Amino acid sequence: MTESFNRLVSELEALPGIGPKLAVRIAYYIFKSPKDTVERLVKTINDVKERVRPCSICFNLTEEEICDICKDLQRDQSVICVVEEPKDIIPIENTHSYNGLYHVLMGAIAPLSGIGPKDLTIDALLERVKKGVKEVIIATDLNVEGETTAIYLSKLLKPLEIKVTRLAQGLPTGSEIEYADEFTLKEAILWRKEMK
Amino acid sequence: MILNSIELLSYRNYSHLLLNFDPNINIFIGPNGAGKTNLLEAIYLLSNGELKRGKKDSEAVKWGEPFTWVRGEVYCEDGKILKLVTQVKVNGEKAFSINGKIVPLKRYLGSFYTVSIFDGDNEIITGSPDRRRTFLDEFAVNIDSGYYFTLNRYKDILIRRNRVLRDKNFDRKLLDSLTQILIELGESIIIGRHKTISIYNEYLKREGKRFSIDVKIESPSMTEDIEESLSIYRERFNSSRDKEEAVGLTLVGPHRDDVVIKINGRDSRSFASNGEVQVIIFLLKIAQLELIKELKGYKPVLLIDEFLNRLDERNSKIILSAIEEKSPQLFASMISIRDIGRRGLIFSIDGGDVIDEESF
Repeated sequence: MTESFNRLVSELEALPGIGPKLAVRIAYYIFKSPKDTVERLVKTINDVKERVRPCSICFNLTEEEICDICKDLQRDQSVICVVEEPKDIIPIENTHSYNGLYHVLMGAIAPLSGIGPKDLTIDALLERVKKGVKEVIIATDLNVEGETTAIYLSKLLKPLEIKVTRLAQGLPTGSEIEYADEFTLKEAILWRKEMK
Repeated sequence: MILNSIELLSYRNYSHLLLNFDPNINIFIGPNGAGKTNLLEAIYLLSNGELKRGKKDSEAVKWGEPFTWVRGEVYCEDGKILKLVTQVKVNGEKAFSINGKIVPLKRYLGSFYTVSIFDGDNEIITGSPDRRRTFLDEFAVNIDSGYYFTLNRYKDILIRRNRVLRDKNFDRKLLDSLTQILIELGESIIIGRHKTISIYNEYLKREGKRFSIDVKIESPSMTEDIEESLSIYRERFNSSRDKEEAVGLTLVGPHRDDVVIKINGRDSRSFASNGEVQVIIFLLKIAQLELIKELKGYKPVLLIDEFLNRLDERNSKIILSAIEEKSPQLFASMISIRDIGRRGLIFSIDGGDVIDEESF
């Protein structure tokens, strides 16, 4: 392959979730595409880089100073759901069952990768919480990093005398008990709920 | 459980081998390096989805071949027939199937139970505390299947906590958070080990009678009472906190607790003779066999490498009578045949092939 083509392949390979074979396929697709399609792609990438930025309140993605969710006064201003990344907001919004605000940490505490509490937006969260928030829902991942972050946040938030909750752990809907992993099943038994 | 037959392809020094077994006793006889242990290990691999401790799975593949598989047909007490396959590629990738269906390792494990005694098992007595902890942990999984997850998460948190401790200006609250998670997991592990030890000891007490020895598993950091053991853990943990900040390591917890195997009240590590070590290992394993039988409802197949080696007449007799009483299907390797007082099949092995097969 030519030098320019190889350079594109290496750039694509550096992206998350893209392996060497897929990188070649995408590069070849770009090569075959009409010039205006490629120009549009380049422009779109540039636009994102130039226009999109973190919301100055919650760190969700926005093209303005403040994101649409923070601007929406119809939403419950007394509840904040804390997530690791902006992409975590989308599935929660899709449930249409949450009407509070969000706070994006921009990561999770990961001592092995050198990411400490100071590298996250925790100070900004504390400032927000002090302004009349009643409940913080911690929706970090359930892996080691997410759990560490959740416990850390609860230690910071509890003294402020607000309600601190964590997303429930249990069985996915439509799943069969037989195939559930034992740990999840154990959690589900522990956090069982009374039938209405 | 009865292993009815096994088929090996490109396994170790075997190109292709198909064997039908006796439901009671199967002895592999042959000179050193003939491939007796390899055959026992093939059965171990079929049961555990991995080679025994300290060996890379890719070592199972015959030199120059791309992959190996071990197939076995197992008859279960409840009438089920399992056709099991473990395939290992030369790059270490593995695949498993039960009755023609590909299954993940997690599903595959627990389909065919074996209890095995290989040479390296002596390390349970003579080796480091780590070896005994692993021995106990591997067994605790049979009693509580969630134990494995807890153990792995404990290790994950431990690495992170140690990293934070080594950081000169660490965040106090972050350390506290990790400590909270670690202690919670540590307590689950202690509860699991406590339960495992007490169940195990009941069996050891019962089985030890035949040898007139008293073998007991103890952990110096635990007492008979679980609540007391947990508070000892918390106290020891808290009192080590100044020191651990100085050295940058988590000093107290299940990852450092020793497990002591006592023979007649004394630490077997220092006081057991070579022969006694063999007897203790046999006892530990026969207790395991009984435990699995009771917990899972299936009698495991027993694999013994270098059967009756290093044992005197008296202990050999007791071991043979114990096996006769428990009557698991036995697979054993021996350098030369010894009268074991029961009927079965002898397979003479040399150079990666079975050269003779006869009843005795």
